[in-house]
Amino acid sequence: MERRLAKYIDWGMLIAILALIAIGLVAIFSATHTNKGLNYGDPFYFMKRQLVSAVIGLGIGFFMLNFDHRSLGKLAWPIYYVSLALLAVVLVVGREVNGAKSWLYIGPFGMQVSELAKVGVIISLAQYLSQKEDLDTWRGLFGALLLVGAPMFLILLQPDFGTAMVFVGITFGMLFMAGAKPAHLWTLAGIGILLVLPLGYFFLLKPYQRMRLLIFLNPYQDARGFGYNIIQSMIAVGSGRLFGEGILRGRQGQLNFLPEHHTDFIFPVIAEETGFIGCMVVLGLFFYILWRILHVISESKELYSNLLCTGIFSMFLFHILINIGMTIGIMPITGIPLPFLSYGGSSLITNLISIALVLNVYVSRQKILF
Amino acid sequence: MTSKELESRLKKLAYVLVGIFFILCARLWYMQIMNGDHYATLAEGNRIRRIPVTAPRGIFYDRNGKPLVSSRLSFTVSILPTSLTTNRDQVFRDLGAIIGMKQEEIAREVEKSADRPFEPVRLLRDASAEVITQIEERRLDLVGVIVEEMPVRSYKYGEFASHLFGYLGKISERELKEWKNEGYRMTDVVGKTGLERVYEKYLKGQDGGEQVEVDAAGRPIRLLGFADPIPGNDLVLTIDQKTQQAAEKALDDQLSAMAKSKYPNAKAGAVVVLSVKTGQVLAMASKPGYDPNSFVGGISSEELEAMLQNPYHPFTSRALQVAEPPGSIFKLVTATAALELGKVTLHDKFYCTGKDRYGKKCWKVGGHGEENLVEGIKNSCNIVFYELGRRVGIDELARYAKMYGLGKPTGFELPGEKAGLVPDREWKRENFKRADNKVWYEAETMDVAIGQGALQTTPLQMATVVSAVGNGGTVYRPYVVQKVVSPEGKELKSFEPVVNNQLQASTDTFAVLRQGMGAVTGIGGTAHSAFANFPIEVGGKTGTAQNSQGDDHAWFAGLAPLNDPEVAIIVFLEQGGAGGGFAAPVARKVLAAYFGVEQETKETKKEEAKPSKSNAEAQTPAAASVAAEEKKKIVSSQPKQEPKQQPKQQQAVVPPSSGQTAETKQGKEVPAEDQN
Repeated sequence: MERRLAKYIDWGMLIAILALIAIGLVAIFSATHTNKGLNYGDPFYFMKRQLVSAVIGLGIGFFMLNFDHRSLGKLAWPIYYVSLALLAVVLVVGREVNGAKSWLYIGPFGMQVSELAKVGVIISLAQYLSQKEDLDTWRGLFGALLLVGAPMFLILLQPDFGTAMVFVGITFGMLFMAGAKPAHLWTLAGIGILLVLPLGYFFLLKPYQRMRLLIFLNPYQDARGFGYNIIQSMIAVGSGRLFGEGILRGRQGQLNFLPEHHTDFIFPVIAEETGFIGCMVVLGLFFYILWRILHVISESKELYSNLLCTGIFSMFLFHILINIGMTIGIMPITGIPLPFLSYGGSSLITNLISIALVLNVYVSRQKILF
Repeated sequence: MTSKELESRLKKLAYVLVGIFFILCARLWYMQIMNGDHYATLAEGNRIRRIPVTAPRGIFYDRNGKPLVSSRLSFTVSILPTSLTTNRDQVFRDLGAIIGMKQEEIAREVEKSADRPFEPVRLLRDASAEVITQIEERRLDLVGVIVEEMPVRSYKYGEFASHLFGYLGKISERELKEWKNEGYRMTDVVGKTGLERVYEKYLKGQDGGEQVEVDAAGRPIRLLGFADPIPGNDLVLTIDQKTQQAAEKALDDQLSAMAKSKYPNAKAGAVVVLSVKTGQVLAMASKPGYDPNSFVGGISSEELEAMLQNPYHPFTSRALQVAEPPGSIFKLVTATAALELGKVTLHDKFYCTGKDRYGKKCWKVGGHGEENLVEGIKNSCNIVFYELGRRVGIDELARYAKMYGLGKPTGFELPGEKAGLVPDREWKRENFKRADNKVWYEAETMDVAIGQGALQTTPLQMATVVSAVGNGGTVYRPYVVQKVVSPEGKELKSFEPVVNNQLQASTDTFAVLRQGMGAVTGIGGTAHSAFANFPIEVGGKTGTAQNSQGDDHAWFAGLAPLNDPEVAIIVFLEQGGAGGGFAAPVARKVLAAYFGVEQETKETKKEEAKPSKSNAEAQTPAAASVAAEEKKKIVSSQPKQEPKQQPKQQQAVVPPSSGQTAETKQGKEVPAEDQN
């Protein structure tokens, strides 16, 4: 079994993932090692914790490779309801971080349940959609929307607008891949933009979140307040120029002008310290991974596996677009992490599980063949 | 769904992927490659802060090289607007509670300099150690608040020549507009009056700056570079510290003593001491005054208001900004005219019965009996001088008064000097409407002859008059700045005595006047009691000027030593009654300080007093010049030493440009210079 795994696993993708995690660890160290107020006096504090999460994530991932991913598909409904339950529980007993009730603590271990819920919903939706025959009708779409709508609604209640939007991205990608009519999807998008977005904007978001959402259109309107993050982030990215200031030498990050620079704003740290070249390396790695996922989809013959990978593909693509886009001033600030790079155990472990699922699909394709 | 359909959808996903990555890469290319330098500049602006380092102002030295006004280190509480975060209101409130300002006041100050967010907004100058401790304790809460170390003006002797020195204040909007090109900034403190004002451009120096890297909270991380401030240029004054001190004290003491005398309205006065042979001001005091130190930390509006509302105007220098009738000390001028024009000789006899045939009275009821001119001066007999006035006539009297420099400003360095008034026929013609008022009456001539009527002089003018009597007719322009010296000791400007006018009068005439002045302090003279047993022979003249607004003004004019006068003194007490009674004792104390003789010698016999007198006499020109030579050495070496005591000055690393600065400054005229 181990031998076969070694033979059929997508080593390129795995190496790309490990490279991103390594880059992330260095960037996290750079961003936090001087900030004594944050790191409890240990320069390696965040780096070590991220490393532990990576090991856990990789461990879970490798463990999952021992099973056929399709067995998870059979557990789709339990997974779905557990996800919903967790999202409901976090609203009651969750801890508020940055204005959103998103953290669930069991003893000293905390996790951001919405991260895990993303994978849960992808699995359930893949299973659901793979069984549906009438997705080219409105009726057929409605069930799928309901299935995604419930967890999304709970996440909006936290309120975590960014993660909720990721669900939209995932859903569109998967529906498209599952055979929904493009015209229907465009209509849905139109309704979303004209109706759901304004409603959510006015009724679910706190004022600061609204401000944060739109400030990117003109950050100088509130340069000291909400626009500050964007301005400082853009200064960091831009001042990296071609080669960057050098690792551990990015002024914006080291001097704490950049807020949240080990989590949501990790990309500007990399951009400032390694310049355009470093950015191209990171984007190249991301692109390679996403390209390989598309390759896995094309190789896979089963609809469920296809949809599972499409969901994961959409999730990563959306995260990358929104996060990097926010740091370079072309997307609103929504506070979602950059996969494999941002500090955060829940996110890293979820992402590694997702990759493990993709690799699993890749490996099982070989199984079928032989 | 067919696999072909799947293939096509997969392709579309791939397009989306490529499209999104293309946008991200393009945006990064635009920001990092095309606009990288722009963002790098912004990053620099973010982390690099220029903290201006105020240059210490130039030092004032007295004629012997004693520092009178210098700078000391102080703490200023400021706000760096760029470092303020969203909790600024809280910071303003907390800081306000410590420094005694309202939250809104601070907000307003910060708002005022909104266009210069990198410059500290100074809220409290010269903060106490207690305030600084409180701020340091709450460092972490008070984000954006900084404590700057900066030199502030220190007037070593407090209320001492304060009208001469002037005071400092925040630069006004008008001044800023006018001086912007000369490197002045909104946070500057500039001279508002006095020498601080007149020599502002020399005294200011050139501020330095520190280039500091700061973190997001505005905390300095490291020093990147600095430019040392160049201290301002020093002024070497003609003031003699001891004499000035004595003048301040004697005036204060006399005025407070007079509160209980017949003249309780005497609240103001002046003392001017001039060097007879140069016109240098040795002392110039005016009361009431103020302590310029109280302006250093920024004066409270109530305090300032109280000073402005004070009916005795503490900001007015009585030495030169007030012109009043000089009373009998003007008789020296009348006598000069009469002697020169041959209208009187020492053989002429006068007879005073207390009044004359025109009904004009002498101050002494019953009269002085038979007198000659010298006795007339000694007795300050009005009858004699009415007669002399009548003989000379107003035209000649006015001409002589003007030759002595009366009726126009002396040309002293400080602004606001009064011209005074020498009334004559022309003046009457021009200033009166009714025909019968346009005519000059002889009675008016007689009033002028005894220093009354419309005649007005400043104490400074009278000091130049008395000096001229002492030196044989040379009317010097009084001045108080000898030299402007750069911090490196280079002489940028030096001032020599300037002769305003040379009276064409015989030495005999001045000898007679001095003889008369000697008699004034001699037995039976009007100032005899004030100078009894004074070890140095002093010539004097008292004056009691009628004042339509209240009690008489007391004047005293003195020359010492009488046989070869070195100094001239004027004491003027507003509403101080008789000159002999109150003004002359002040002069005695001041002269005692100048000559370094003790008041205790009162009881000693003349023989014992003599040696000290001959000591004073030993100050012959030759000896004096040796002494002056020595003083010069002290003075010129002083400015070099002094800056090292200034804590904030770095080891005089002088950029090469400083030489140029000195030259250009030398070329510039100080505003006061333009006034003549």
